[in-house]
Amino acid sequence: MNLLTDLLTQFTNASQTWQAILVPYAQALFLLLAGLELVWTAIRYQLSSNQSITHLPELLIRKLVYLAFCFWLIRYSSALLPFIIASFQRAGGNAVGITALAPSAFLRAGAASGLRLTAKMLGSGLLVDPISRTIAFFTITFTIVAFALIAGAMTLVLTESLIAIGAIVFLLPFAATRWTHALAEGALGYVFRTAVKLFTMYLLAGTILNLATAWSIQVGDSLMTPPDLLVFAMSLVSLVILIWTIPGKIAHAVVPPSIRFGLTPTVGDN
Amino acid sequence: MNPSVATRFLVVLLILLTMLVGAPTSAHATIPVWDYIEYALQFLKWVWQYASDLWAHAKIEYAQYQRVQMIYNQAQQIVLQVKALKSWGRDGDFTTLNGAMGQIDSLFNQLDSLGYLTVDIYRRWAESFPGLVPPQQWVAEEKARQERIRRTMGAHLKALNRLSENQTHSQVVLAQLAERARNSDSPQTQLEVANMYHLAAGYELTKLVMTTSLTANSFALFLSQQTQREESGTAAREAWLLSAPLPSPLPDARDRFTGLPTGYLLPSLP
Repeated sequence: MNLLTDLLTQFTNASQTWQAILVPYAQALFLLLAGLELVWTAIRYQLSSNQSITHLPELLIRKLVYLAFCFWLIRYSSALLPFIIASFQRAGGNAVGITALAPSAFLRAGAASGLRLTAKMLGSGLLVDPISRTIAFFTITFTIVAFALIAGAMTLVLTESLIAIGAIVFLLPFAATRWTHALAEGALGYVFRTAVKLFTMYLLAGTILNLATAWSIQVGDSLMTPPDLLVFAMSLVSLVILIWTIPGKIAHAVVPPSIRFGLTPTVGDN
Repeated sequence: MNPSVATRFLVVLLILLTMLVGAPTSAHATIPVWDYIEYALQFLKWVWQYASDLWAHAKIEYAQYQRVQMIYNQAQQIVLQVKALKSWGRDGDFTTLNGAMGQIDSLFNQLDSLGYLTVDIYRRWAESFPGLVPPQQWVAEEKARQERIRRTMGAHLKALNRLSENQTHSQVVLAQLAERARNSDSPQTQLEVANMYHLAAGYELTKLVMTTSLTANSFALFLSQQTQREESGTAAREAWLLSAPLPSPLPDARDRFTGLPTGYLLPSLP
């Protein structure tokens, strides 16, 4: 029984159906908003003091091209969004020699480390002494929680990726109007941020995967001294901080929330 | 007055006899002399010596007789003791004891108990208290163990009850022995009473040993139960802690997630 694996499997399977369901809705919403944008453009054009018939074709062509591009983006989002994320994922994976992330492996490594530490300390009689018991309790707790947090960070990035691929398409139609296009840009920015996060997470996870597994095996092989135990626990805490902050920091540095993709239907002052 | 001739004759005769007896001298007579007085004295001495020897022999014979009598009495005593020991049972085995002891023995052997009189006590004990063995069905095993201990304790109570009831009988026996001792008028009777007393004392001593053994058995059961509970807990905990498999450096395919929908492949853009 592995709840985390089941959860991610469920998300992975569900993300496929989300797209299939949401794309028609997104298209309908886009057509509605595009119509609204065109109506509003026409009204503004009529009310404009410097209207000129010579500008009308340019305005219409630029508007229609933009709207067509957005419609194409929505229509083929099921291929485009995974393509963006898959490119980053593959690049990161190839860099460290892994093809996938395995949060459950870190959970198992954490559980094994905690249990092996407990068994070793129990076998050595350390759990009888109050001071040793206190050190053991904190070390074991930190170890298990640290591995769980690493697995949690990976699960978070993987889930974000699946949401970005499967559900973010519903926010793209908002690119059709001048009032809501920021939502679509934010959504696209989110997709790129998630892709960068996934890329970074692959780099980190691929680097520490074998190391963490080796640690979990080594901790039960010999009885560690109290300083070794505390250093082990604190190293894990440092690793957790690394895993939790690095992908987000890089993603926000590369793709800040303020990033603009130029997705706006505005042409000139209309 | 002049003595008569007869008187004079008797005086002279007496003097001569006295001289003859009191101061005889060896006479080297040329003719044989017959000393009748000497003969008479020799005869008297021989008679005296013979009588003395006869008396000494009689005393020796009487001593031999007394020794034979003593050996006979000792033999009789051994016969009586053998008779007394026979009432204890064959070869001193508790299983063949008569009376309360035999009843207590059968009490323990009839039940599935851990009484100290049980023949295969160690096998039953080892079966009930296996030591540092992880329980497979803890509730069922504990239930069986508790039931066995409960039956044993019940047998203990019954045994103690029998022994207590038997005290009245012991007092009656002692009173009867005291009465017999007062009325014994021959060494043989006294010996019989002494043997009876030794038998009764041995019987009481056995009861005392049984009572002490019952108490010790109760304590042993209690301690065994406490120890077994701790050992079962320790063994279960050890097995539980060490049952965690070591994490594999290469996680299962089922646990690996790419962050992309299932079966997604980088598509060729339209």
